[in-house]
Amino acid sequence: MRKLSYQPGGSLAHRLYPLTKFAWLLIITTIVFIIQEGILLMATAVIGLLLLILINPSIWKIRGFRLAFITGSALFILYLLFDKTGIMLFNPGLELLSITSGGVSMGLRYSGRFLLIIFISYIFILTTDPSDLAYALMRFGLPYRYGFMLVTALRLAPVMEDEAQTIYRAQLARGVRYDQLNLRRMLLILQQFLTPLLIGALRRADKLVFSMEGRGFGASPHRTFRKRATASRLDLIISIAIFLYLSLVITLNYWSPI
Amino acid sequence: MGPNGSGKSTLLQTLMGFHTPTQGKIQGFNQELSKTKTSNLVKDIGFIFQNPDHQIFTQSVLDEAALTLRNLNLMNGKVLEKVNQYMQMIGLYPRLEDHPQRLSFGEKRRLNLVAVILHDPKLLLIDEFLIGQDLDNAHKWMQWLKDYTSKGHTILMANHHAQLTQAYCDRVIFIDAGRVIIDEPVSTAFSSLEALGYRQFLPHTGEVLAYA
Repeated sequence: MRKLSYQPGGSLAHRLYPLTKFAWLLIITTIVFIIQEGILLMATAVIGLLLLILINPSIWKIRGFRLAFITGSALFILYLLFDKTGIMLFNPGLELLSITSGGVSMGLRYSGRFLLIIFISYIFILTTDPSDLAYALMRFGLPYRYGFMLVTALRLAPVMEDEAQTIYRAQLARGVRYDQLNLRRMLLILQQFLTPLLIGALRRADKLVFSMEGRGFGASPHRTFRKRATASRLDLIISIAIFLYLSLVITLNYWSPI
Repeated sequence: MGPNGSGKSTLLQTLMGFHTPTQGKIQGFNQELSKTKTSNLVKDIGFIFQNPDHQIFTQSVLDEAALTLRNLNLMNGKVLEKVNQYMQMIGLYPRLEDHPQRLSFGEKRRLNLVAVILHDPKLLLIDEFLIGQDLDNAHKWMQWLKDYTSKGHTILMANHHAQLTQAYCDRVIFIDAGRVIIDEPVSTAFSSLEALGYRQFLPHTGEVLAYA
């Protein structure tokens, strides 16, 4: 299992300017709630899934993806089973197993919405270096003190992960049994796990503050950047494509209500 | 011994069951260690990690020292006496009720040591015990560990300090890039290392000092 984080690569989605992707992520997430037509939502979700597989063929090995996928599909089945409104489409004689148009359209709507949001979020997270996003936001006026807060937090996350692993191992080495627990012991062991992790994080933050202060961080209100990513023609082309597609979907949504 | 990233810590951690060997197996205590869970190794093997802060879990020095004993259900009046005795030895007896995070680096390191030897494991795995100790203290603790091995315990220690290794250890395993380069008694180990060109890992001699 690989963890859900930025995976370097050279796909088109990787080469897009971070803010373009971020903006489209927000826009699509909003539009998903405007569109009511289940088939359109599900079709868009399928396109999202295909793109995701193109970008990252080993998507099924990324932590959490299977669970999200199964949850989304289960949503559809739940609606089929329990929403019996609309015209009867299939009747095996047992009420629970009968399928109605209401169940199908509601199932497609909510499952499609859920899956689409999951898929585009995965595309965004897998192809966007979070530091690049922070740098881009800073160029567009996010005060760099806050931008750096984000960058630093992202940089330190893997360090914290390693540390958590070491602390867990150190606990095992001292005879802590994670495999035979009652609730009270679990809380104690959790406390014993979190204490060193938290103290380590606070100490590191403290040291980082001193060393940044020592190098004059924040002394000047403006800052120059070594990395200078800008939007390119690619962003324009892709944006136009997404815009046309979404316009089509919205038109269809209002034009032919079933 | 070995350069940074050569695999010293990984070797120790594999012995403790944190990693599964990709090939070969680990034999010890009449069983195959590579197939034994860490929890079942604790009574035989003590492990000291590199960073003292990663292995201090409790709210008082006394609890910290006794944590392994408690987890192994070995705590009783007789053992408590032994705890106190050891705490006197490392100079922390007056601070039994203090929070362990308030100790100095060296004190934490000594507490780490006591915390894993109270239940008398036969094998002690130590990852860089000497970082942050001044040379006098380092000598003192190497001597203490040497005396400890003479009571029938075995210590395997990842170490950078060639001089101390030469003075106190019996056997040197030198690792580079994940491979054992030499595995010899300390009497011949350093001349073999020199022959192989690992000059920076030799004990400082009068000759080297003369260059400086």
